[in-house]
Amino acid sequence: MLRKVITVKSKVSRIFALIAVIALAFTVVPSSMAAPAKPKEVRIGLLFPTTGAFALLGTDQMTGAEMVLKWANANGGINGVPIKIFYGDSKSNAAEGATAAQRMIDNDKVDIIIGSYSSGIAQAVMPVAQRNNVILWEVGAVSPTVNSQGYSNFLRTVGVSKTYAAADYDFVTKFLAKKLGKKATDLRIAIANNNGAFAASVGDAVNDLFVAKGLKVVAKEVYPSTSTDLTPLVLKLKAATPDVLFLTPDAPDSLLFWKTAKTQDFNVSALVGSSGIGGAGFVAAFGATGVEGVYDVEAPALASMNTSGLKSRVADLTAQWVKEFGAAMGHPCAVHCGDGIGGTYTLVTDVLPRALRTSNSFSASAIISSASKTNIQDGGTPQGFGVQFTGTNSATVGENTKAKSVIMQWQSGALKVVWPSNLATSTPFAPMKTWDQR
Amino acid sequence: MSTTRTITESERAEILRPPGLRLAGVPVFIAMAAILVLMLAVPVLTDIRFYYLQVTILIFFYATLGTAWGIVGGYCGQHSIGQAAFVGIGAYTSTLLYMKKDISPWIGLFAGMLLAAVVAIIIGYPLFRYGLRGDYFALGTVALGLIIYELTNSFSTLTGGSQGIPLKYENNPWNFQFQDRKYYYYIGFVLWLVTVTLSYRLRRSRRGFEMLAVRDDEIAASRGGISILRAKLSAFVIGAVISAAAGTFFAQFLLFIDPGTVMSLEISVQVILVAVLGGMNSYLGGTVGAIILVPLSQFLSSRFTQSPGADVAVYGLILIFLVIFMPNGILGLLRKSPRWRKVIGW
Amino acid sequence: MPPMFGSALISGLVIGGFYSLVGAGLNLIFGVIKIINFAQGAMLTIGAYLTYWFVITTKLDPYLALPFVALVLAFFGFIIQKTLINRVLGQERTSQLLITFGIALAIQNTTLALWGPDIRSVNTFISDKTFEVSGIRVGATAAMALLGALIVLLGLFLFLSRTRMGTAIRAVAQQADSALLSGIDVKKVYAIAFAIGSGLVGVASVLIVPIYDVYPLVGEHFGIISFIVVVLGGLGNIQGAAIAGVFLGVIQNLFAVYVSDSLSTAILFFIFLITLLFRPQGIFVRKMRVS
Repeated sequence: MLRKVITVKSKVSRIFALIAVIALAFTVVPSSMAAPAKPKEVRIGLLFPTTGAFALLGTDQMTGAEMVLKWANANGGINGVPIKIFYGDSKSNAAEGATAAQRMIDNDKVDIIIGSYSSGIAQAVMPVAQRNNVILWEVGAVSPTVNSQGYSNFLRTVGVSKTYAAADYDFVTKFLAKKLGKKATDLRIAIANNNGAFAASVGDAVNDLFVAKGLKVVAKEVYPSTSTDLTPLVLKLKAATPDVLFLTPDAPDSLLFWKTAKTQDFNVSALVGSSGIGGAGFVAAFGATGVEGVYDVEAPALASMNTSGLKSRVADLTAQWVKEFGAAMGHPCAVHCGDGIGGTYTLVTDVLPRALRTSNSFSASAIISSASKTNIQDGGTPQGFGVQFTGTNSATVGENTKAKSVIMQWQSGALKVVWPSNLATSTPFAPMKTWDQR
Repeated sequence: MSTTRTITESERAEILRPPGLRLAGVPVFIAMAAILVLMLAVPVLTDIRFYYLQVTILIFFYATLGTAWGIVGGYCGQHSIGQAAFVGIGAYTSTLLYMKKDISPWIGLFAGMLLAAVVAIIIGYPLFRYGLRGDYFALGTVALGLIIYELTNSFSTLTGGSQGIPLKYENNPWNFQFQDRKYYYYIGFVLWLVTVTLSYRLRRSRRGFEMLAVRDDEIAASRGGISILRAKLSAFVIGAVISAAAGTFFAQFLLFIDPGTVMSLEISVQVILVAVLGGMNSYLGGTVGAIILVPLSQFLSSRFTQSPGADVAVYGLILIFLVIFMPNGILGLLRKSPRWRKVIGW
Repeated sequence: MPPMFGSALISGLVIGGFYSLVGAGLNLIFGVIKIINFAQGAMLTIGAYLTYWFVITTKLDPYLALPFVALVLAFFGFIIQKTLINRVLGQERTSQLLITFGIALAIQNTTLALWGPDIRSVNTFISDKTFEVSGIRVGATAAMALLGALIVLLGLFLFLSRTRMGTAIRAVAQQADSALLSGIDVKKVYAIAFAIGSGLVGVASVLIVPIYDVYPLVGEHFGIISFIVVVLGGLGNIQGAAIAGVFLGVIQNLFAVYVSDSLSTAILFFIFLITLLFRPQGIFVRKMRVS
């Protein structure tokens, strides 16, 4: 008995020792003040979902951004100031993202966080970045509400879901309607999306714009992102007999949708998809003939973009990164890789050098002030579109007003940019073949 | 509790003595008080990095939830796998009232707690009424968690759906918002301390004894005149109400909520994990579990940043080994000592 | 029968077949060992990857992987029960649940760490075929899945009712103590039950792969739905689970077509909850209960 008590006691004291150690850990006092002299490095944190539900495309985006940072370092950093890269994983979860952001800010002392892939994560990371006066350089999230609070430290290079809708509208009215021999307002249009954050955001934006413009939306369907069977969706869409379908899925349901459409012999003259529809898995699953003619609306997939419209230096670099990415990852540099490359390119070649020149600092205020002077024309970034941020007192703070989405099309097994014509590597065709003809 | 010898009078008296912290003795008591004071003082007196405070806030959050779970699962033996539903109810109630009706989250906090209590009664009453096996309760709470998640996702016009809701921030203490985030640390501290105190007092109260009796032997408890339904239901409701309060706090701290963050199955399981690891029968179990698991998870994720998934896989393995080799949790190691058993209220 | 209704019904039957397979496996484990196995969905993921690697290395049709995958998963299940769960039988239910959850976490994230988040597809010799009867269309892979589910479930019933081992399993499920007294090695039976439950998942995963592709989270949702199947069919009631799975599949798809697609997952959880609250013994007749 006595022995027992003693061992128990020692266990107790161990627990208290543990508590004491943890308490002690709190008392570790850090001290670092930014020096006014030329910064000796710029610390950049990459915060992407590399595990969990968003891991597939989140990893692509992270890799794209990382490649550009490493390239910059190999070429003298930011005018001689090296970049130190730090990594964080938001685990496809907003709260994890917020905690990881705080960790990178406190422990890694990052000046800038590049993220976030997902709008939900961006919205949780943003208050953390703002309160610590660190920049969130957003290269992935597309929900227009991400910065509805108007945080000043938010800068986004990629377009929002409204740019998807704008590209869709442009394409429908200027190309599809003519090609299909109908007036745009007579085209029967169906819109479908899953209820995930990205898909819902794009689906709603498309629907809002089309309805406002007086197009004929004959079906607007929403299905659960966890759905195990898309037959009901396809049956309903089939019953609505649309000419054009705008579909915003995630990666796994893209494949499931197209298989189900095949089984149910659901044919449309044009399918404009997004996300997984443009992914490498899509063509791998169905083969070149299986996906021939399907459209994909998004920021351009770099591997399939016409780089001749880019400035020659940008075009060369883009080609180099596309190759590097393909070799490292085993699949082509598509949309999300391009987001990572394009956004980070603007940061390291334009905004940071100017901040260093004019303010000799990478503080948030220096970066914001530098970004406000950014004015890159179309063709000046790997993604083809230019960059100009809205002023800090406009309704949409820190958004890239020149960001565009493009329309791509699967042609002979490759995703080709087909619209707008200045970035196009191929001309679009419509209508696409029915299942019988494939 | 079988022994091969008859117990003496003094041992009998010892067993019947109510649990209490003061049995731990003055030195331990002073040490604990010192730790509490230290926790209060550190953010003010030192230049501590906020990341550590943020991790501590997460510890408070999970310790609160784990303690609340301990009341249902540990005291009363009803293992809920849907505790995230109540966290979500708390977070969404206060946030929606704040964003749509401009009602202060301090009021929303109580509205969320009230709603959580109502839902707990609606779900708990039928589940407990028929005197079903514990498995049904566990599955019922799984269902509750999933259905609340799906509904929140689907009714996007009200809830924002999967896109979630960013909270507007205006540095107004009346709106549960503070420029200096140390306040969240202190609010988290209070939330945790109140929960542990409540759990401790419950453990010493008559209602607490009833819960324990129901857990240990329902039939005997019933013969002894205890209302099993009342004991189980009150445990479930108390757990739900505390979880909802934690949900409101978490929403205000994060300034953003979506279903995945505040009401996913992962959170429910994480809460159980915290309670089981710490030792769910003790009012301190949730706290001990959170002190270990939250930093561990942070450590693993900062360690494996370059190989996605490896940290969670390791986490899963650690979980398996803990359950096999330390099934009563860390505080469970103390349960064999009559004195410490009383201190931790096993 | 209008084609839309017919197609919704048939596709519901198919998806229901999957629910039945996964659910019956879960229910067997639940009925015999009395644990809620959170790793069921993760096992499905393993099965899907096994099928994929089988096809990649042997260049054979994925359906030929069936015996291989079923056996490997059964063995895997046997090992899990033998080395992990049998050790914690005396403990709280929650401990067992946490072990299975830990297994699920470990499996899912190991697949992610090893093979990355990419979606991989395999095609079978019937991938391109579709049957059509008066406007109702069903893919050959789906028909194969339904057929496979039916055969395997029938086999399971026969095994449980006609063989010595089946009888032993049922005996253990009903009264583990008495079974022990009559000389049955209960722990071994547990391991065998877990093996069979996992083997069923292995069958399901081979049938699923041509339809759903392969990625780390592929099994997750099926795992969750199998809980509903188990409750609706009655805890431990294998036949009930089989019927319940099909029933849920049909309800889900009809609801999606005629009421609301976006709530078609929520309706399943709603049925789950209502059943638990008002008819916890399950809604089907009690035959072939293993407990």
